[in-house]
Amino acid sequence: MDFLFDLLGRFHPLVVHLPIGFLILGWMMWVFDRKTQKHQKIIRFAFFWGTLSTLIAVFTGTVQYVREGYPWDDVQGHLILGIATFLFSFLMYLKLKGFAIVDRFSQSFLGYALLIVLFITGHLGGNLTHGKDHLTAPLPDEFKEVLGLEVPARTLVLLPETHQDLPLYSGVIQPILDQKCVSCHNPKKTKGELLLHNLKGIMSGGEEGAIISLKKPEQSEMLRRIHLPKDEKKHMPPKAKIQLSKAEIKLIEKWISAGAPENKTIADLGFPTALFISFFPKDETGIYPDTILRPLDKGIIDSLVVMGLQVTPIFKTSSLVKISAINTPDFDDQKALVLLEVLDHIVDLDLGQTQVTDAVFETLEQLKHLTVLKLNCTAISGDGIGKLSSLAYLKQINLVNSKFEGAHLEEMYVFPALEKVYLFGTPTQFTSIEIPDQYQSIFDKGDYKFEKEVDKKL
Amino acid sequence: MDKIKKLLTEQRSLEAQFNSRRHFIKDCTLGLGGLALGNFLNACSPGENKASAYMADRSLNPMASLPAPFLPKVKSVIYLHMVGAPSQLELFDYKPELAKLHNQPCPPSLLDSKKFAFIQGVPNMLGPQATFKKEGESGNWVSNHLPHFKKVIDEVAFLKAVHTDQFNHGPAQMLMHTGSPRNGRPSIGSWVTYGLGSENNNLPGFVVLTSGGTPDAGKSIWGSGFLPSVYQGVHCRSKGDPVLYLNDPKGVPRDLKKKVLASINDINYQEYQKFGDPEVLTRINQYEMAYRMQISVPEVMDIDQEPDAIKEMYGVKPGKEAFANNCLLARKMVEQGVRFVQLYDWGWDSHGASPGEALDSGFLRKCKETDRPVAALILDLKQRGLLDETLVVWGGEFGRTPMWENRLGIQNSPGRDHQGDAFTMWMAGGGIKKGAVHGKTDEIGYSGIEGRVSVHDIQATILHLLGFNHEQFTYDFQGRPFRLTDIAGSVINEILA
Repeated sequence: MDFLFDLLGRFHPLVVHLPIGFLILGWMMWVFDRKTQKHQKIIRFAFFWGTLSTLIAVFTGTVQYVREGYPWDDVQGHLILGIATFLFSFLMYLKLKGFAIVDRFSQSFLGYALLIVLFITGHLGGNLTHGKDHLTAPLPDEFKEVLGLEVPARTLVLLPETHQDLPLYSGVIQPILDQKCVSCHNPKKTKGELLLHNLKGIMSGGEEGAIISLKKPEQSEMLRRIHLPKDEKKHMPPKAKIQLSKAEIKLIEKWISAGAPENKTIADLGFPTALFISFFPKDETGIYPDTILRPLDKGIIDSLVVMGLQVTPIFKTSSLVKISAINTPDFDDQKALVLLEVLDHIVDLDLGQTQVTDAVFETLEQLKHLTVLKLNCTAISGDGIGKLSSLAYLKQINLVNSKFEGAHLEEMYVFPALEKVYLFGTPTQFTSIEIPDQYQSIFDKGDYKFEKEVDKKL
Repeated sequence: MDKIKKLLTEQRSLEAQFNSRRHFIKDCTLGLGGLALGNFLNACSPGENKASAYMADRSLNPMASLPAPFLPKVKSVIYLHMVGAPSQLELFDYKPELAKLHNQPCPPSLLDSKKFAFIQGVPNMLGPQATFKKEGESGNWVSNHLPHFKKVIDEVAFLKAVHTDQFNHGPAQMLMHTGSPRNGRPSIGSWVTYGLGSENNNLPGFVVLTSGGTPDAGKSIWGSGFLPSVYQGVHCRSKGDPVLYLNDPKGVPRDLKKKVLASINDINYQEYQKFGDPEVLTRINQYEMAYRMQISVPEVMDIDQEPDAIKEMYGVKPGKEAFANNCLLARKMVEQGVRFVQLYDWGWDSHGASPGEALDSGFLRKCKETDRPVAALILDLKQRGLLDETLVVWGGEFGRTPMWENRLGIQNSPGRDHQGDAFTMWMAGGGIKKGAVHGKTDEIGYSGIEGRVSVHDIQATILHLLGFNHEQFTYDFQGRPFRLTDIAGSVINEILA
């Protein structure tokens, strides 16, 4: 008949809700009734059933603890406080009944103590069933840090500018191990007697001895295990867990070959940047702004396509588009007004070899995300190009073989993001206007030629 | 279930490919009337609007431009293939140690278990037949045979330890361009146009220009393999009419031709709707393309209209078939939105068995023919703002041995045998790290000792720069997905900016 006990124990999670409800209701009525003392009878009733159901909860809980093998460390707080809840609620009931043996406790003390103990017990019980991080998991990482909680390991991100200054071990290797190995090799859960949460643990090895061999780095047990076929039982991390990436394995190998140094930085070790590229933040939009917009309506795109324009997202899942008029040589300033229908979405605009003139700048100045602009082989002279100075992302302008005049060059000096202007084949190529030194690298007049002596030699 | 469905669709489409004409006649006893009707309807079909919407629809125009899965670094590729395999040891891979071993017998250890195309017994070593200098700010090595190249050397990233497992021209060229040494796979240009389409509706998306002769592997290296044949490279003649029969016959006005084509296409489209055979779409598209090309191609292919300074820069030879002309054409095509321009220059097989293929004569002529145009191409792309959005790739199908070839036991003029273990390629343009060198060969340039990259790595890198993950870019054929890089290849991050 043992199973009856098992079954009984399993009612604990159900039963516990009764005392919580009864006692809190009783407590609320007790506070409500303190001045008038009109409803003592019903309050006593609540505490009677509260106490009784607490007793049942303690009993079923203890049965469950004993029969289902919960470790004492985990349940002790909940169990002791559960008994305390019973005691306080029983004493409270006696107090309300007016028994003299409880004279030494004041009614308020019993009431408030009961409430506190009840809450803590309930919380600890919740932790047992839902896990300790049930309430903290949804918190943002910053909150967790403030609360001194363990922040879950994020994927390792290195910055191209600063990664060379990081110590290889603490900046790269340990974070990789934290992510992929430490969940099974830490002081709490130590599989194979191996600790990987710090350098000391890594160096002292596990139950089969050292995992790193400084004499023969390539024969280190750690690397052997990593390189075993995934289906082998001894392959690490185990098949079911998240595997190390190729780049991570390579770095661990390199670190061990370098003698598993603790403090040497990546620069000290002279490791090339190429080893770390896969850890750099993904630059999805490249030179274009990383703005996310509502995708364009198919109807709007179609209306542009019907005009012969090519409208292509800069990549498949991007809402930013590149528009090209390469198939509509008769595209002009008037037709360009249609661009205003998608003005936020255009980042790359090719109006080369079309009929547009300087009037088009009035349209273009409204395309606030425009990054690359091509006006090559047009009648553009540059009159009004200054209007584009409001475009915060405009980086490249191609004016090759247009009629762009040198007089308008300086209007572009104030463009905030400008990186390159191609002026080959424009009248500008032959003007004597001096471009200030700081802007020299932006303006490319082209007209590259081979040195004469090379030609002569041949 | 999905697989079965796919197989069924494939089978149906293959059947359609074989049977289309028979089916057409059989099923069109009624259809003949419709055919005439189509003609009437077509005559009053309205103009431009329909056409441009049609051009952007992939289900109607297989060349419609598509976005790449990831942000591309470049939108076009110009691939310069030096057919026959130029000697890395006379161009970029400087080996002073090899000079010391000149004309001494090759140590047998280098010959063990090696396969050569022509070397027999124990050959002598052949020192570098060139002088080398560090050039540019990058200080990278280049030989005296490429005097113009030094001007662009800082734009280029070298791969000094490329290797291939093929040691004969045909298979090695196939591997380089289709990812497999055997027939039947689509070429890289076909993959790219299949994935991205082409921007210019009036020009083919994948153009092939040859000089010197046809590559050993034949036209299959720009074929479309199992992809619809609309994606195969269009081989333009670089002498005379770029495309044969481009002009209408006398007495056929252009608008009559337009009506004829429209009727044919309408009938073909009915056929397509009936059987779903992509080859019918290809045919429709090719009629359309041919019609539009009558205007656009003569314009693009006409290098005479270029300014003299540009013609001089490339060193073009008007009216002749020349690599220089092709380089200038490549720039013009990319400027007009052509996706993939493939140049083949034949004649780099420097065995030394005859003067034409000797390192001291024929090879020098090839260097002279290509050095200036290649450098000019890069400079010209740069000054037009096109280099940032174009990838230029240069290479052969393999490299050449540090040994002096001794065909039939006779040591002729200086020449080298085929060698796949280490050779040099370079890339320039958008997304490429300027002045980078990746890979290193041993003291005599016989095999790579650092940074070895395979042919599939190169293909993976090209696809990467165009916005593809080469492992996810697949096409289903014969019941399984196929990739350009087969089951290998990884992106060469070391040469990426």
